[in-house]
Amino acid sequence: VRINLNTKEVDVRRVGSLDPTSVLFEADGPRLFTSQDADSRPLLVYLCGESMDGTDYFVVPTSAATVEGLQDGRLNVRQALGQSWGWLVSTTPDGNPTRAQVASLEDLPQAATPTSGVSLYAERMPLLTIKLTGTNLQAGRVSASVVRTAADKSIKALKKLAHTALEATSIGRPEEKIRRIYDLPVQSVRFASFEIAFGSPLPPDQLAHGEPSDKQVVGAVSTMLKSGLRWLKGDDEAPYERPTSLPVLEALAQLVPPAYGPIERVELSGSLLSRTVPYVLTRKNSASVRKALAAVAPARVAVKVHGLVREFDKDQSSFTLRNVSDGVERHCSVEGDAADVALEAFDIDATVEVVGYELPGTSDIDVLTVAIITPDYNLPSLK
Amino acid sequence: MKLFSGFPEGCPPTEALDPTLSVYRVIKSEQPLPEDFMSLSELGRTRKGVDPCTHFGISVFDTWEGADVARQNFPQLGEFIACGTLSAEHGKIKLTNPLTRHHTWWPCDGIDRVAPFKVVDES
Repeated sequence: VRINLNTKEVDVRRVGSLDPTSVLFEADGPRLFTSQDADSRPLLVYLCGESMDGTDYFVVPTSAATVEGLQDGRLNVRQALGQSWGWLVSTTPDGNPTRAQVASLEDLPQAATPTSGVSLYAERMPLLTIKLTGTNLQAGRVSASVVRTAADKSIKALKKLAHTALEATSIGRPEEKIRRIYDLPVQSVRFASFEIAFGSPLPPDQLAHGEPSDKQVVGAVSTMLKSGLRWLKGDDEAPYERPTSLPVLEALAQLVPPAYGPIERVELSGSLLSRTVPYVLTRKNSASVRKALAAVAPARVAVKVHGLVREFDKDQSSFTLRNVSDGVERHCSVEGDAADVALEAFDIDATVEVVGYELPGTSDIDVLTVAIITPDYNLPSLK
Repeated sequence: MKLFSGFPEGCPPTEALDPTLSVYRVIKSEQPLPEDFMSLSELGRTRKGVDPCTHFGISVFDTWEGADVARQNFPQLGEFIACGTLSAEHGKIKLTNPLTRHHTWWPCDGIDRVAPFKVVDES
């Protein structure tokens, strides 16, 4: 299909011959390549339309840094082409430019342009991209708590699944090694709404004999997460079976939008989900997850206790609560703000109030909030 | 002896191997059709700055993810991904870009190019 635009025509000689200098992506011939204009300045050339009569290319000025960014995954194809206005160049069937019109990426039909967020190489694709959207979530209006929520919730969801994946193997891993699977390197952050992209785990240290590789663990996490999302987003005519695994539902509970607040939708994509087209989770999905959790989970008991944080394990992000109000020593898993408060309480020997859910069959607590309640406690900056 | 009628001399290149792998191709049809497996040469199209032998081959990827990236970045290629297992009888194949996992497959004379393929949702 050829592209027709009603934009200003310019001297086609400006864009040079469009001979490829370096082919960045080929599929039935070069699809994305660099070339040089008539003054030997670098161009990025994208094949956007073709027929028996010739080919259409979207051509933009580029730089070595942009090409490098494309190749190492810092820029995706749409970002690299969208950095500048350019030209729609039509060629003869043998590739010689015959016409050039002023154009920007937005001028082209969507079906002729790259999908947003897709890297040039599959291995540079983010492992997981989480985009939070909502009426009040716009560029310049994203609060720090939203940023923190996105990071915390993804960590909690992946941690839950990584632990479940490893429980299925006979050989365990120390927590600091598992952490690589869920505390992923941030590949990019965007603030139009809010989007955070996580890359693959950092290169592993040497694995012990028989220890599952990161790839195996990530594969198991991927399988579990996909099973949950397929159920959640499956259509009514061909429904997927509801996951019976509690960790899968608990991971989904972390990823769906909260019932209130600025985050109304959560879009998930990335190689972990084998999806470049995102799963869009809405509050309706949040309700489905809550309902499924209620049906599957053993009754989760909410607890509120107070005591002293006597041990804090930074690697496991957990603490031991002693001198507890109900007389039972508690092992508490904690993330985000609550972890910071617990660590502060540990440092200053302050009494804390812990609210959370008791994990079924144990006295362990999955912590929701931690508050310092020692009466004479002052803010750290005022000490 | 495999025949590659009409190909330029030295095409497929000597480095090309007998295929023994599953490959993925982005296609336009919901069910694979012969027109989804035509080379640039058969379509009467030319690309500048490309080895002429490339015009006689068909682009495939050795991972679903590689094909998916191609599909998402270049929607003109098609909407569907077909997977097929190729064997020695299907011609010659060469990995041309380890980063994109792109291979050029040169089908030999007389083989059914469509038969090994079916559309797949994901890897």
